[in-house]
Formats: sequence, structure tokens, C-alpha cells
Amino acid sequence: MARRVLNILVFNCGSSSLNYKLFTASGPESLTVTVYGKAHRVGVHGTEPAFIEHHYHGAAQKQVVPLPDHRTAAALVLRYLQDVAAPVDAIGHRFVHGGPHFQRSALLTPETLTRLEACLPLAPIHNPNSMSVIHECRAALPAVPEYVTFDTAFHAPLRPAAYTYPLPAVLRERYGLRKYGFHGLSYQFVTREAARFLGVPLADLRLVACHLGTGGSSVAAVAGGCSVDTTMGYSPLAGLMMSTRTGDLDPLLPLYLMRERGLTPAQLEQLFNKQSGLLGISGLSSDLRDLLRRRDETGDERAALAIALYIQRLKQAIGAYAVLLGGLDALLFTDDIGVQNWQVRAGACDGLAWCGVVLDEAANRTAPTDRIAVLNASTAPVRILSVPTDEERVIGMEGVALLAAQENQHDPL
Amino acid sequence: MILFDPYTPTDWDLLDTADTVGYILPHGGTEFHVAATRLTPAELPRLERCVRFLPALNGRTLAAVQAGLARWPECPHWLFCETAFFADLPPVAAAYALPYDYFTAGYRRYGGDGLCHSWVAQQVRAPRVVSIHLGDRSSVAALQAGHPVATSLGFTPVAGLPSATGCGDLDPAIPLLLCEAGLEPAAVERALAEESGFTALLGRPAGLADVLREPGLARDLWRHALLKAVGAALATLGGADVLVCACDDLPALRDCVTDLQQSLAFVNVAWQVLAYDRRAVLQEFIC
Repeated sequence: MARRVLNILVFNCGSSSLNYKLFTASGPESLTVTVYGKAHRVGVHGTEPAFIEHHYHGAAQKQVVPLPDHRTAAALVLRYLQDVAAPVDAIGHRFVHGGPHFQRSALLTPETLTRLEACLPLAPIHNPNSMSVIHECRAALPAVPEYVTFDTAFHAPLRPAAYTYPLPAVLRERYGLRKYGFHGLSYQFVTREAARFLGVPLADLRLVACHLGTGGSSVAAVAGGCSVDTTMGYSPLAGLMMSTRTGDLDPLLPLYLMRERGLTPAQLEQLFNKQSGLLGISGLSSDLRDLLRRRDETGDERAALAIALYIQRLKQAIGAYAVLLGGLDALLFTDDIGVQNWQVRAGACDGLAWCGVVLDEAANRTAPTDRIAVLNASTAPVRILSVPTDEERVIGMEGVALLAAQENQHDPL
Repeated sequence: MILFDPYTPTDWDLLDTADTVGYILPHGGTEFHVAATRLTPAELPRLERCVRFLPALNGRTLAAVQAGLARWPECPHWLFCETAFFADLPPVAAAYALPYDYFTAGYRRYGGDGLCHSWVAQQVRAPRVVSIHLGDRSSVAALQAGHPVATSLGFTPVAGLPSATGCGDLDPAIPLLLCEAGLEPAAVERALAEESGFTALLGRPAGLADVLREPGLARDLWRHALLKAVGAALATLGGADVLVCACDDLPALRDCVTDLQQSLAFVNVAWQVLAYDRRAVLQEFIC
């Protein structure tokens, strides 16, 4: 079969940003970025203006322009690509929550579009943004095939013992309550990269992967490439303590707060998602770096407690999954905090020697942030890796695979 | 000793005489910090202030104390508090990642099952102990030099492992979602605390022994949750010297213990398996 070069445009919607990358793909594993950029402060009403940046052939261009919504930002990206005459053969999108409707990536058809509509309420902040970008692409480039990828899809192999909440069956069924898990595109990328780096087939590895972002964080236990458990749940609120999210709480606590404080479910949702986590405990900042500085410079007790809580919950999740997997082969750290914050890694690994996790302190402190780094002590049984994630690349790779599968369907060998 | 347990309330009308009366208080909140308190009518206001921490169960205990004190005014009455052992839980174990004001206002982990875990702490004197209480309401506590530094239980004993009727740890978005869908908060609370857990999974009233008896989702889910809870405790302690299983019904739980030991074979640790006789342990508290 002739190898065709594909130009795949990938959109990755954040809550107030839009990342894009245009890849040239000559095969499912060989993707090269040709153009990339990011729209900042999308839909944000702040004192600083919104802007969009493009990077093409080593040149950067910044455009300060009103960005009331993601669709506007996407339109500007498409116009820019047209201006620089960059061809687009397919467009990939990231959906945070595919719920029960999608177990894997899918080409966009009238049928998948209907199913996507059903996913919107599952992630009311993120999914509608992604949908608006799809609509813009269909309007501007109706002939270009599109596809969707899902952060939940990686966790589709979860077994019932991992995804079932032991609630009355009538509630589980009526409201579709189960664990879905998130950050799947990142887990897919870093687990494959780690296996390749270690020179061991993914099928033979027991991994614990920590995706520690500046917004959301989670941990996943992965055996043989399949998700075995993950800390986020039905929603991305569950699990670890995060920048402004509580993570796990006593299941009755929300109900007590309604009764005793007169708070509504909507107010609690706001409280648990936006005013808690590192920000809530410290009262200072949702940024770990600010808190570390404050703790070290002034001995601020609440900053210290916030950091200690964050690390304790992370460490407990790693220990929980190490036992669940019956021991682990490698521990992975990824995303902004996971790759850039050596203090968090040092704290999380401290006291995990019982399951084979021992850091090399110097390697951990000086680890590069732009490539995979080995952080474990040379004698330790568990490899510890810092693995920069690249969600857009996974989305691009998914597109190559989907288009190839479609082609094979049309022209059976 | 006549013992009142609000989880399994008994009919006292049949009893005439009593030498000692004991009452289990599932949640002592901010009021009771010792395991055993000699009760007099003067203690009733404190007990009343505790009711809000676990209204259904603590409310039953309060009613039983009121009735018991009136009925047997001559004999000693003892209140056994399940959360007392965890009163000094360090902030990093006690705090939820809520705004700090909530922590100081008492929205924190109180632990629970402390009568069993404090007994384990006495029985097994080692620097680092993971204390695993196995029964219809199980819990895991991490003990450092005999003091708890982490517990699987939370603000209430419904958190942590699933139990006979409790859901255990849950995405906090779920109770909110159910209330937003129009369910009454009280009905949601009842569903999570009294209609979930093993009973929901097996579709009939069930305890741990029932779950372990038959292969299936309930047993797999239990095992999955237990392994995670033990792993989290090991991580908190930085490894353990002894893992202790304190079993309510040792013969029925023997296979569960064996399975746990096999799953943790990769961790170099000593084991101790104990039969937990609550009545005998409570007697020791008041001697």
C-alpha cells in the first residue's frame, strides 16, 4: 500500500484556551508538527486582553484580538492556515467526556454527531466548547473529514469491580452512575512512550501513572496497557486534591453542608470545584510553586498544610495502586506539575521503598523537562520516569489510525 | 453487661435486670475524646450535641441512654465512643481539601471503629502497624507508635470501604447530582448510608460473610477496595512492620485474610491475625 502523507489539524480545547497543532503524518507513529499555536483567555472577561499566537517555520506571530468564545478562536486558526497555505486533510477534536456513548475515537458522521450531542451535559464546561469548534470546522471546511477523541476512552477497559459504585441499582441505572476516569489521552501517550523508552512491551508492564496538571490531577493504574483503576470518577472532581478541587470527600459531607450551612447543590459544586484544593487550604494560591515559596520563605503553616495534603493524597494513591497491581514495574510522572516540580515527586516517592520506589535525589532535582528522564536510584526495582505528555500528538495518531481503518474498509485487500 | 449498639438495636423490654449497661456511640464528634465515659444524666447535653454528627445512629444511642438511665438508675452506665481514638489525628490526615475555614469549623475526618483499632494498638506493639478491621463495617487505620496517623473512615463512618449498607468512598459530585435531579438530601443520605454497599450489590440484606461466600461483582469489588485501602495505609506509614487483621468472625473471614496475604506477598511484612471479641474488649475498657 502506498504511504500517503496526511496533514492533520488537531484542536484541544481547555476551559479558557484553545491549542492547535497541524501535523504532517507519514504513518501512525511518525508525526511532525508543521504549525502550532494557542488562543489565550478565550471567553475571559479580565483586564488583560485575549490573544492568539501562531508558530510556523520558526516564526511566531501574535494577534491581540477579542476571543469571546472557542468558535471564534477556531475560525481565526482556520483563516491563518488558509493564509499560509497550509493544507488540512483531516481535523481531530478532543472531548473530555464520552460517557457511555464512546469507548474509542470515532470519525464524525451524522450518527456520531447525534451521540456527541448526548455527551454535552456530561462535561458542561468542556464538551460544548469542543462541539462549537466542530461546528466551525464543518461550516468552513465541509469537505474535510473530522474525528473525535475522548479522555474517558482509555479507561473503557476498566472492570466492573473498578468502575461500579456500590449504590442502589436503581440509582446507578437511572443516573448512569459509574466511574469513567479522565486524562486518558495523556495516559495513552505516556504509557506508550514509557514502554518504548524502557524497551519493554506495554503488555508486560505494570504502571502507575500520575498526571499532575495545573488544573486537574489524577493517577491511573495500568496493567498490560489497560486501565485497571484511576482516581477520578464519574466526574473530574473525585480523587486527588487539586489546584482548586477537593478531590475525594466523605460521601455524606455534601449533604451535611446542605443541611447545616444551607448551601445549594449548585453552590457546593462551585465550592468543591473552584474554591477548594490548594487554594482553599492555603487561602493564598492555587499554584503549588507559590505555596512552596511561601512555605520555605515565611514558614506559612497553611501553605505547608496544603502542600503536605496534596503530597499525602498523591502518595496514598500510588501506594493503593501498587498493591492493587501486586507490585509495579514503573512509576510515571507527567503534565506540568509532574514533569516540572521535583519537590512534589520527592514528596510522593518518600516512604515508598516498601513497593520498590526509590528516587535518585540528584537525578530528580535536575531532571530535564523537555524529554523523558530516569529518576529512580540505580539499584531500585521500580523505574521512575518523568514523561512530558503530548495530548495533541495522541489525537493526531488516533486520526491516522482512524483514516487508515476507513480506507481499508473501502478497499479491502 | 447489656450492650446497646445502634447498628443492631435490641429490644430491651424483655430485660429486667442489669449489672452494667454499655452504649456504643458511633460518632463522638468534637464532644467525646476518650473511649469509655461513665454516664450520668449530667452527660446528656454533651451527648445531645453529638447527634448532628450522625443523626440516625447517634440519635438511637441518645434515646437508649435516656431510657437506660431511667430504667436502671442504680447500675453503672458506660458510653463507648468509636471516634475517640482518632481525636488527635494529625491535620494532614484529618483535613479535607475544602477551604480551611471548614476544617476549623469541624468538617474534617473523625475516623471511627476506634474501639477495635485502639485494642489492636495495645495488642501489637510495633513502630508501624496497619490495622485492618474486617467485618460488616470494615476499616483500615495506619498506626505509628500506637497512634493513628490515617484512617479509611472520614467525617462519617460511611466513607472508606463499602460496608453492609454504606457506599464507601464516592465521587462527591454524585450526591450533588442526585440532589440536583430532585431527590431530597435526606433520601440521598439514606440511600448512601443505609441502602448501599453489600446490600445494594447483592440485592438483599448482606454482610461481609455473604459477599465472600459467592464469586461475583460484590466479592471482586470488595477485594479491589480493600487492596487499595491497605496500600494507602502502607504509603502513609512508609511501609509497615506488621499488618494486623482483626476479624469479627474469623472462621468466615479466613479466606479473605489468606487472599489479602497472598496479594501482599510482594511486600516484606509480618502478619498477625486476631479474633476481635468486642464485648470482651469493652469489658477491659471499664476495668
